Amino acid sequence: MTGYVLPFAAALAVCLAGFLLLDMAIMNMQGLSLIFRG
Amino acid sequence: MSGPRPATFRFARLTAGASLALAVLALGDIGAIAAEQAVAAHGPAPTLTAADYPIIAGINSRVAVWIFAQLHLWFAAFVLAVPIFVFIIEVIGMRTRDKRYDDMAYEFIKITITAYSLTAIQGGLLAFSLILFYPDLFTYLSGIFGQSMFYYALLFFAESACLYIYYYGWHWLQGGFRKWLHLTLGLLLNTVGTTLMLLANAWLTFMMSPAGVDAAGVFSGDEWAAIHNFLWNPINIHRFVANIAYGGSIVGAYAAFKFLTATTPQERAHYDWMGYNANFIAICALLPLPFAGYYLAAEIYAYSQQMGITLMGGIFAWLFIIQAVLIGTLFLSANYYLWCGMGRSDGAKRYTKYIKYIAIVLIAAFLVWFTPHTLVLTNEELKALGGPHHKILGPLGIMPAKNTAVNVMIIFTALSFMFYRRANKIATVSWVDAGNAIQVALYTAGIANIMFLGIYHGYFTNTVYKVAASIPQVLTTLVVIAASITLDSIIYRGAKEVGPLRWGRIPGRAQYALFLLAVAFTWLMGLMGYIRSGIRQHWHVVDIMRDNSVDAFTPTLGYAANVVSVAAIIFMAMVIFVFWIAQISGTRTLPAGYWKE
Repeated sequence: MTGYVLPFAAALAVCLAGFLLLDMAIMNMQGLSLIFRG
Repeated sequence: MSGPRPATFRFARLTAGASLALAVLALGDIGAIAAEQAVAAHGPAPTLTAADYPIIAGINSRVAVWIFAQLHLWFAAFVLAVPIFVFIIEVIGMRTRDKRYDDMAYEFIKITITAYSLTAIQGGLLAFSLILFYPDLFTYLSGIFGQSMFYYALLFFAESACLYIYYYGWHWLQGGFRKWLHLTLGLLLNTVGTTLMLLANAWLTFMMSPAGVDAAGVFSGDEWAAIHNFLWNPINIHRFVANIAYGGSIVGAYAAFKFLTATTPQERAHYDWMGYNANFIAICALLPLPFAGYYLAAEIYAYSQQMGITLMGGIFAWLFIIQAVLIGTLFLSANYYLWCGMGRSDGAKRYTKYIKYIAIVLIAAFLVWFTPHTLVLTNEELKALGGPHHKILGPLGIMPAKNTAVNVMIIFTALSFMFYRRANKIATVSWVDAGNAIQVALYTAGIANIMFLGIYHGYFTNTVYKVAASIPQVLTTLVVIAASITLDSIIYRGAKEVGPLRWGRIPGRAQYALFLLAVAFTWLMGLMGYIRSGIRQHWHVVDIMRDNSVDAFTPTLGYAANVVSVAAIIFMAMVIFVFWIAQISGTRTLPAGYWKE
């Protein structure tokens, strides 16, 4: 189980962080921030 | 202009345009001379009256042009797309030295030959009907695109030559240098075919987003500016990708037809393999297609908000609900075919338990996708509901929900395909559990990100954010697919096979999924083509040349759907004819005692 859960948790954290960075970069390129500021 | 122009005048303008083009080429000074002479030769766009539209034999001009244009487009999409993947399959065959690929590529191109003639016939009928029913529009457009129309005709001859040598020289140009020569011909055929499509796209996009003309429609003489108009590249990209998906679906239907009529296990195995490859091509092109469509729609909005709103917020919005149903049908049938195809491997049992979950997600996303925003209701229903929007389902009617749904559908289709590819393999690397964990994490994070962007930006921000968030959604999907394929190829490097794949071991009903794919694609292209053309409303050329014919109104959606459906039935009948011709071309009758010994 350790051989599965640990890589899953680590990969999930890395992927989520990576996608968040991607979102921020793309929104910034469009002159917007990731979090809406009305 | 108050009355019909004499035919000699139109002919004179066409001749003048063609002569000018040749003269410019001869002198080699395209820019200055062309501009100078063209300004002198071109007047403003004509102002027409109903009398300028000839009525011939009581035929409805719009319906005639509509059907011929649609039939031509379907066939053209097919004959332009098939050589693209025939070329790729031939290259694969050459690299792997597996003759099955070469045979399959040849069989695909064989179907194209008859379809090619029908494409040319439909193109001729379209051109004639335009000249007969809309002479002033044709004259105006040919005045601007005279050069490109001339080169189009030359390229058409070049394409015919390439296609016929490519097809009839297939068995002659085999092995070594000859094979390279044959591949070069294939490349040439595709280059010419794609250039033809780009030219024709320029003419139609000019009618939507005119360029190279002033506000009165006076042509500046710069034909490249008219070709390179605002919507040219978005249409080019969308059509190129869509044509490949469409071509894949039509040859998939051919393989299904041959599979169902096969009499030996060998034939069934061959056509099963062919159907799988056709479906694979269709899926590969189908996955990026919604993004290309979204880009096109966004560019239409960017060019003209009025056209954009007419497109998806006005009368045509309900056709997008039908579009959603049809695209959902495409995804479901493509996935269903993959699931049935897993039966070819004895190792598929390990993955079949997951199929029901994929099906549930696909159907849920499908339902979200075709949930309308504004409902068509009677007065009583409106009163009972308190407005045209459903309180619970209404929020699913806006674009962020649709974008989220389609991205999820694409990701789960990629997952189906991953299971299919894994079905007959056993990974041998020691870190297989960790690799699978990373795959699950990748999909989970990707879906979470798509949901975050769709829900947060879709419902808690303003329109600018809603639109902007669709781009990282698309990129997330592409990253998940690319990373997953890469990771899987590493996990399964040096993998063992469960057993030989049993081609032909697939239920007959899977073949009907391939038929459904072809029919849904055809109908979808017809309806969406109508929308693209229809958003010009009462303009031949938007804001430049007004349509003053008796048909200058937007027909009801039911009427439009009927016209497209009739055209789709005619097209399908012709496709069956093409399949039949391909079938009888391989049949030999040996009449006993007929010929002298």
